[in-house]
Amino acid sequence: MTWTHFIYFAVSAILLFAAGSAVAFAPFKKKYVLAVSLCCLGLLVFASFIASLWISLSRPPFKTLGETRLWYSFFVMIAGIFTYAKWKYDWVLSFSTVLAAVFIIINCVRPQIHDQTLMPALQSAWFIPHVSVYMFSYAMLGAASLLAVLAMFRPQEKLLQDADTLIYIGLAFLTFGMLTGAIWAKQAWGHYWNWDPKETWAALTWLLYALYIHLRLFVKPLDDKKIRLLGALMIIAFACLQMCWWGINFLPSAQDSVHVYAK
Amino acid sequence: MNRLKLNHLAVLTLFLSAAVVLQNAFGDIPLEFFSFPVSLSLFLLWSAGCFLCWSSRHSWIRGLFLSSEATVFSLSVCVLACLVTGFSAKGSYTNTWWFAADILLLLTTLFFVLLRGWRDAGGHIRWGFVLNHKGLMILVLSLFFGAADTEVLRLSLSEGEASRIARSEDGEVHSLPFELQMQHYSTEYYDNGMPRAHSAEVLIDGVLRTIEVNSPVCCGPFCNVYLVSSSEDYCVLEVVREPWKYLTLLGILMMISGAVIMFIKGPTAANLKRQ
Repeated sequence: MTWTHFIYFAVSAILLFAAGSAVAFAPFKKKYVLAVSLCCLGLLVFASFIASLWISLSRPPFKTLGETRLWYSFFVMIAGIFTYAKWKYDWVLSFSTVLAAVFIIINCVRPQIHDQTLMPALQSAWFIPHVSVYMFSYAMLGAASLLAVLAMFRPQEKLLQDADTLIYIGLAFLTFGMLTGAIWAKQAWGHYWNWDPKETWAALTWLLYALYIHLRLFVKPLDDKKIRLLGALMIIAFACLQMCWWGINFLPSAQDSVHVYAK
Repeated sequence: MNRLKLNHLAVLTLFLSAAVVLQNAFGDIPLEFFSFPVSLSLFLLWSAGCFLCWSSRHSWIRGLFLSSEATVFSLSVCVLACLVTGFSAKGSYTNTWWFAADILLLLTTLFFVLLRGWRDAGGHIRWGFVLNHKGLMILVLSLFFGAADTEVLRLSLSEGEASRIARSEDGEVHSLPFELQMQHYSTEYYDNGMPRAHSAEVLIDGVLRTIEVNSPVCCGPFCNVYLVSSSEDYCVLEVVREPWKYLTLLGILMMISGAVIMFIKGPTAANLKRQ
């Protein structure tokens, strides 16, 4: 299996995700089961491509930015299905489908150079848990920031409460990803933490979500203005997360970063 | 109440301003001055100071660091410090007095919050809270107080060459407590010419060890030897001595456990507290 076959899996998966999203708006009773089933079928198609690619590359597909986009599309749909199954927002499947489709289409239009090489520093047992956990946390925090955008226009405490669950799950995974990265860094380069630009932006993102969680405990009672401010904080935190993920590739100060492997 | 909050913020701002003044007066922190035993003495002094302030009946410092403003302020200044550092070249600001003051503020807030949690626990330990906060405090303090004690030395060896001499990043010559002799080193390549694996066979005080990327060797309880790079003529090894590393690892493991509890419990515990 190579990237030339990706288009068939991509189109099939997007069609199944779109069908599931459309069913979510339907007026009949058992729509939840059908919508979730269709999206899960799409995930299965997508997962089969990832598994085949993994086997054909003889290494986990986590190396290039294109490969991490593959995982992000996968996990953003899992986060969308999880959010839909738990809180029954009709729109959430459509949004995660659009988000996943954007990354899938970028991979189709601008495929990265996907060779079989994996540089020595990336050949570690920490590689898979570190990256996959990060991708899952990005998806959960992405779903939370959608609720934050909604809260900016329709400030309701219920939206923040729903976002809290996603943020707690996302931050738990973010912490796990960051700290497994620290253990790996000690093994590879001799330091748990070295204030490399990528590490600094990871710390900044983590601190912003920690600040949000603490503000949620301290700020009460909530009015529209405070809900908007907390929503804005979530959006800023997610913007910093994007900076940490791919934005630093464009930062002049990060050009010597040991974490910039493939652009 | 409002005046009290303003007082809290004023004192915290004053503390940070003092660090900025120190920075302007003396420049970056002279790390070597703070190496062992000064680092350990400072750590003990800070711990004792915090505990004394906690024990004192009418301590305004305790009130200050237990306030929600202290938590929000210390997190916010750390956010600002990371933001400034994130846009700068690596290591530009991490040795400044104001960066250290940010970290000290965060550590002190964590110390007081943990003591309050311990006092209020009443036999019921909130494991998520304890592991997350204590883990973060141990992790940060080991990196903060241990920074001056960490030594990173490099040496280049060609095949058959032996040496006890290594250099720090600023070129200072150091003598190693063991001898390194390069026996053989090699690099495997992919078909497209990219390196697949580096490895080096080194005699460390007469014992043959194999060093690979992601697989350093231990030389004593606090020291590791890493393979950095290799060329046709020589191989570069890095010796890292980090006496506080076990404390750092303990903090990391505690925080990972705390993250697992955070995932399982979600915001339920926090909601209960809010109610």
